[in-house]
Amino acid sequence: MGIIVNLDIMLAKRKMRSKELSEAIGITEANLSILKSGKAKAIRFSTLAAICEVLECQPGDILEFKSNT
Amino acid sequence: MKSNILVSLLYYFFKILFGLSVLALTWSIASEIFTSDGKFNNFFVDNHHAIGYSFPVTVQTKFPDSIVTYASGSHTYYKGQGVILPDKINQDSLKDKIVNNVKIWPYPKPNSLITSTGPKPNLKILVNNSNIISDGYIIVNAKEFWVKALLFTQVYVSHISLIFIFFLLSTIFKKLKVRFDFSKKLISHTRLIGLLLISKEIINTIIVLILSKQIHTITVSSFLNGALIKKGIYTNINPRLDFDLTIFLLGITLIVLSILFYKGYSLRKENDLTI
Repeated sequence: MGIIVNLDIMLAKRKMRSKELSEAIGITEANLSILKSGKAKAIRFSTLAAICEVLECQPGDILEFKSNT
Repeated sequence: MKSNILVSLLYYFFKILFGLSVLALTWSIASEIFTSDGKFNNFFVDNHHAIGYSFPVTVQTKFPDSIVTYASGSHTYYKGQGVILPDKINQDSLKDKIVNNVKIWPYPKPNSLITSTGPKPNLKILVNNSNIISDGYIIVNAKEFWVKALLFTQVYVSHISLIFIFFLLSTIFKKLKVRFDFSKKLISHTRLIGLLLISKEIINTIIVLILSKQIHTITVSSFLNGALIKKGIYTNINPRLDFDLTIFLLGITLIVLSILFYKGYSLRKENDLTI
């Protein structure tokens, strides 16, 4: 499984829409969708910091590691 | 911006070359099918099944013990020619002798082409064991079907692969004109061009190797009263291995570059998926 992105859960907890978050952190909705769907290859520290700031959470709340075995 | 202009220019250049080479091939095939001798009014083609096909050869002409006439386009040409024209040469010295008259134009720089050994180099230049070697093509025709088929393949494989290369290059530059970046098409087409160049050279070399066993050597000698004139001009025409190492290496380089492009494409894709 590897790294799981729990952005959907955090957005639901904060009752925030994807569009609002993308506008707040300055990335496109398409890119946010890539991040949410787990298709992204990497995430920049600046993007992670911006998401954490807007959602008032820690990186661990968004990213989770699940072992394949 | 500058690269965009260059890419656009190259796109149109290769598109025109592609069109012209297709026209040339169409013309060639049409003459093979619709004409009996490759002639159509005042136009004719070099390669035709009735006439024969181009075959690479090396031509070597030897002119031992010759009088060489130098000439130039300037005013001194007439003066020089006047001195060494046969009627001005001491006719007694030429009596009962075989004389090869080799005319060289324009006037070469001293010692650049032929070693002068005569007593009066300005008037008469004697050339010992001199020869001229040049690469070229002769038209070869064959009665055997398989030889004819090989000659046909040799000519048309080069032509068709060239058309395909021009097409691929125009497609690459068309894509780059829209977006100057790594793409799957760029990788596949670059690799294909490399493979085409390599295979074209290998196929041509193999065919020439096979055909050289059939064609052997053509020799032109001079005879007088049935006896060979050893001092006469004679010409050797030998089959030439038409292998272009530059094109072969270019093909390998393109294949290596396509691997590099794949690396670039992967990096770009990874960069696109970095949020």
